[in-house]
Amino acid sequence: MTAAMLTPHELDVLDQLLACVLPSSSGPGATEARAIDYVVARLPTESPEMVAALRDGIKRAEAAGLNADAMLRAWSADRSAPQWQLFRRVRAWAWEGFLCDPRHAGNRGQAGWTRFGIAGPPQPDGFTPEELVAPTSAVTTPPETPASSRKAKTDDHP
Amino acid sequence: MIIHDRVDVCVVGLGAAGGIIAAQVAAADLRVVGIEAGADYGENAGEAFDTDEITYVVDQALQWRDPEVLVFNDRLPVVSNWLSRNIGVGGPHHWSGFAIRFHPSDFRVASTSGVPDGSSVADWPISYDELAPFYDAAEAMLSVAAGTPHPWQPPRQRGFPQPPLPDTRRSQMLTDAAQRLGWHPFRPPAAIMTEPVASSRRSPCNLCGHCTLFGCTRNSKASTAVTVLPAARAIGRLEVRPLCLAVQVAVDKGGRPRAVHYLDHLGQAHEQPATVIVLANNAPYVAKILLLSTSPKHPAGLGNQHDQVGRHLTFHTSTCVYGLFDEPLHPSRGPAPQVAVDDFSEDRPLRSGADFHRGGQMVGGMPASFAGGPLSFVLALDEWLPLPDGVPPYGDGLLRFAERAFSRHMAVFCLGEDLPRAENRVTLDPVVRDRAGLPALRVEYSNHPEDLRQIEYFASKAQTRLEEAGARSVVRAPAALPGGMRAGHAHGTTRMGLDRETSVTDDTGLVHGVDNLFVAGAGGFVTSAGVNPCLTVVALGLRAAPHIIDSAR
Repeated sequence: MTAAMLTPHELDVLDQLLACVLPSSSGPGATEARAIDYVVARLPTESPEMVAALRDGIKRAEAAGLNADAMLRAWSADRSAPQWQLFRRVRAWAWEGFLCDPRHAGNRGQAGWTRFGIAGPPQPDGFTPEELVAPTSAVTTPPETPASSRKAKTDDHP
Repeated sequence: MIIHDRVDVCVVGLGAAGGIIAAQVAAADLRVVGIEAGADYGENAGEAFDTDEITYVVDQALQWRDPEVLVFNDRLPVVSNWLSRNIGVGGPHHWSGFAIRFHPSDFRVASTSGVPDGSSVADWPISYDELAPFYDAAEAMLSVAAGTPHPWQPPRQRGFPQPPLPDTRRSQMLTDAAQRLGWHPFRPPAAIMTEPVASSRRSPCNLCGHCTLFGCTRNSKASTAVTVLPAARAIGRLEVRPLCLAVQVAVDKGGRPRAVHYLDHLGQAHEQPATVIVLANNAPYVAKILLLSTSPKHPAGLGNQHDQVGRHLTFHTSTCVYGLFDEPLHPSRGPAPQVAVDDFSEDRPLRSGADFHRGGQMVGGMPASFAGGPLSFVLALDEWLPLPDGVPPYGDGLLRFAERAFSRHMAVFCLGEDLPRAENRVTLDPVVRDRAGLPALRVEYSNHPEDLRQIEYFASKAQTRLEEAGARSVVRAPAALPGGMRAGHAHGTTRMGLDRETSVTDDTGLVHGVDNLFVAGAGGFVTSAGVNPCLTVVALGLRAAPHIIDSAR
């Protein structure tokens, strides 16, 4: 089964699911990183059973009148239910599409890396011993981006 | 079936043990063929690798993936791919580089600690003193970067071949915290090059932090691909057959091993006759090959006349605790071997009042995903790595937590010695099939009650240390299987021993009952010890090689 087996409508729903997993409300999320492009590129490598389960899950959820957010809520409500596996798959896709090397079609414009303070492919050149022991105030900080301007909002998190 | 010309030695699995044995056999001017499930990355393997997390973490390019039937702690069976089965010509490529010797008592657990009820604890058939010269040779071969002394350091005759890795901010914080707690932190030895060596293919480590699960782009981390196999290939006595899956050992009418049967990447069956056969692949899968090798003389499989193949399986207990800090710590920077504590190894916890035998080593300073970049970390969250209370499984709350925690956390891992049990074993599943259509491996493992107490003890100690280091909050991962991180180390299943009724091989890895089939690697481990196995696997391989060569002549 390939991406062609997902209809344009199903792909649109999947895009909405990814955006609910990693929303853009406090900075770049799955939408800005084009996580859906990563998923489309990966679909041919996924098991036909998993893709069929996703199609079926979307179909049933829409028949029950659920939007993407309600779909995720339903799928993640019971970790022993089969739908939990769908939720795990969609969540992993969202992260992968958000933080992958852009050569895999996601993380457009390095949106995910930038938000996580990674400038370019992760550490291709390594670090100097001085950088590893630097007092944290002198450790390289994430580049100033729309994401880093949110720091005040994140301080209430652990 | 394609039948190849007979060779002196056929080695299955060209990793830490098989790569070294193949190289030694070739150096003895014997003709050797290596059958390897993974790819051949050549003599400068680092050029084939990069730090792409999709390739090495999501797709696990250095892992063989087959369905396994898992029965953990008497739960219902689950079909999954869980065993860490590392592949690639010239491995280990995937490892963290911890190159730590066992303690002398780790070879004599029954004598020093007794045999706890419900365990199959026994002494090894060899002692630390017998293995010590091979530890020396292994450290030289791997160019091990120095560890710093500690009170329980195993005795050694030589210095380390390389200077130590540098400190990190995290190792300093954890060292200071441990000292304030009265512990004895030390820098663990690591098979990671820190200074250039003339004519070596290896470059000094650039501290990139992509060790575990990744191949090293600079060959700083030791692998047989860059340490010993280039010379073996140059001699012209070693032929490597990558992407080939060994299936069974064929025997002659008298029941004597005569050939390895394997499948190439197209599924074509081959037979490689050999005077001597060495099974040096992943330990549980060595057991699988032996169990599949049935014949009228060996109706239960080779070496299995006393129903010992597959038993005494150990994994280590893997207790992970991570702390969240206010300041950026960037745990993904720098190699994993940073700082260790040996205060809780051997029977030290028991002697200080704990209610379990045998402990393990505590290491720390790395990300909770153990290595890699941001994707490695976030993909572990809410899978085997719990989220703190109040963080939702998806949405903005998850994203904001992950963004902040990625750079502001560090982990402490405790690698514990799990007590062996005869009931913990691998067998051939009667129903589920692997990718090749063969019976899948069935893994049955239940922690000894003392393991569970050890896990709780370690989690508490790790939490104390992280809080002492300044963690604002601490999160414990469940460590009793099926919780916790995926098994990194599988030992046992082809136990070494002097008693043929309770073991599978002798002290050199020669399978009981035959004279030309050896097992190498962690399968022979009698007990798991509370440290990383690789250096001991290499030392055992160096010790076995002369016996293998003698058998082939």
